[in-house]
Amino acid sequence: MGAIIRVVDPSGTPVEGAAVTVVSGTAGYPEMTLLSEADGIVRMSLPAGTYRVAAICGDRHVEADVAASGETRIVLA
Amino acid sequence: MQLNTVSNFAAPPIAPDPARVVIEGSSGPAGPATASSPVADAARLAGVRSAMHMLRNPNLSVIGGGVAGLEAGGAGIETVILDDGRVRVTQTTLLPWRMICALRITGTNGVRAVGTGWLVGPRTLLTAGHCVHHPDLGGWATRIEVSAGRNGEEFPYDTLAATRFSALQEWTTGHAPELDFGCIHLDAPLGDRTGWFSLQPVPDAKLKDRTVAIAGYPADRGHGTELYRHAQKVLRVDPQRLYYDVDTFGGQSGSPAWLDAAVTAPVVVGIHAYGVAGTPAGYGIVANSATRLIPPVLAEITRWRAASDVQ
Repeated sequence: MGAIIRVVDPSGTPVEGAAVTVVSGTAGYPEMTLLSEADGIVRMSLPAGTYRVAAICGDRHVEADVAASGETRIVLA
Repeated sequence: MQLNTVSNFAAPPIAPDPARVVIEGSSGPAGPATASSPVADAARLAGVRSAMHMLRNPNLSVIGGGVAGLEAGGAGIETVILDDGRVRVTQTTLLPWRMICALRITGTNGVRAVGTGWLVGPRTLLTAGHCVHHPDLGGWATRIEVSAGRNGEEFPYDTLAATRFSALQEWTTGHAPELDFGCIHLDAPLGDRTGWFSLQPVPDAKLKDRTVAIAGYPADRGHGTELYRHAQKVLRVDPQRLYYDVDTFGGQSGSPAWLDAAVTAPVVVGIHAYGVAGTPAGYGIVANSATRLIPPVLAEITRWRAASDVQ
């Protein structure tokens, strides 16, 4: 089980180096802040549940609900 | 409480000493016996006084001059609780700020992350356990770049690359939040240039209702390159964790939490590691939290520091 977060810009181009962190969700997951890779992807081993995740790059800051498994696309606009 | 250290290198066999639970801090270079000038000493003392003045005045919107203020934080942004009270620190060559380091972390799986660490000895940093070992890093970090006093693109103490880390086996195998702390061992004595924090156990009664300050490098401000601080009251004290409504954000994992008191050198009481998601729902508080530095934890930290100092 693992969450895949794909960070893209409004044109759909992957964003590398976006900081992705869990904002709220199941108690116990630390304040990990991972940087998206060249394909825009961040992988998080989240316990079962739904989470709110923030993606930040420059002055762009977007939050989205993310499931503990499966892929979620976050568009940094 | 028996704790077991693990490291990603062949650490020297140093037995923990339960009696060694106090680490005396250092203000940094140029003690009285060296070639420090009266001007340098006066400036350093003024810096300490200035820093302590700022610590006692959390309503200051700007610390150390520079561009004023923060744009208002929106509701619901991670662990910034209600209005964003964080203020930027720009004079990062002053105490205690220069003892706090921005971290750039690379995991075994190549994943990159950001965090915060702080000096507890010439060659020893403390941070959150999940900054040195976490499943999302593929296990151990392989490399952490340490930038003390980083201020945007200013690196007043350069950047050191660390490859040796320690944590508790209880963290690496069980990921217990109350044991979420780890160590970065440096090859060079960075702490001799910056100074390091004092550590000592503080009983529950002396933490309750106290003001705690946290400073670190959040990802939502300068992408983890700018130092921000905030101070608020302690809301709850558990045997191994401390809860507070100090505003923090991702990237501040590993930040020192110290008592905001009228002392000549701040005493760290916890290592910030969790946002509001890390506070049990049944507590009825909206709070971030730190791993407390209780005696068994401090004994491990003194052992880690000794391991750093063995060349």
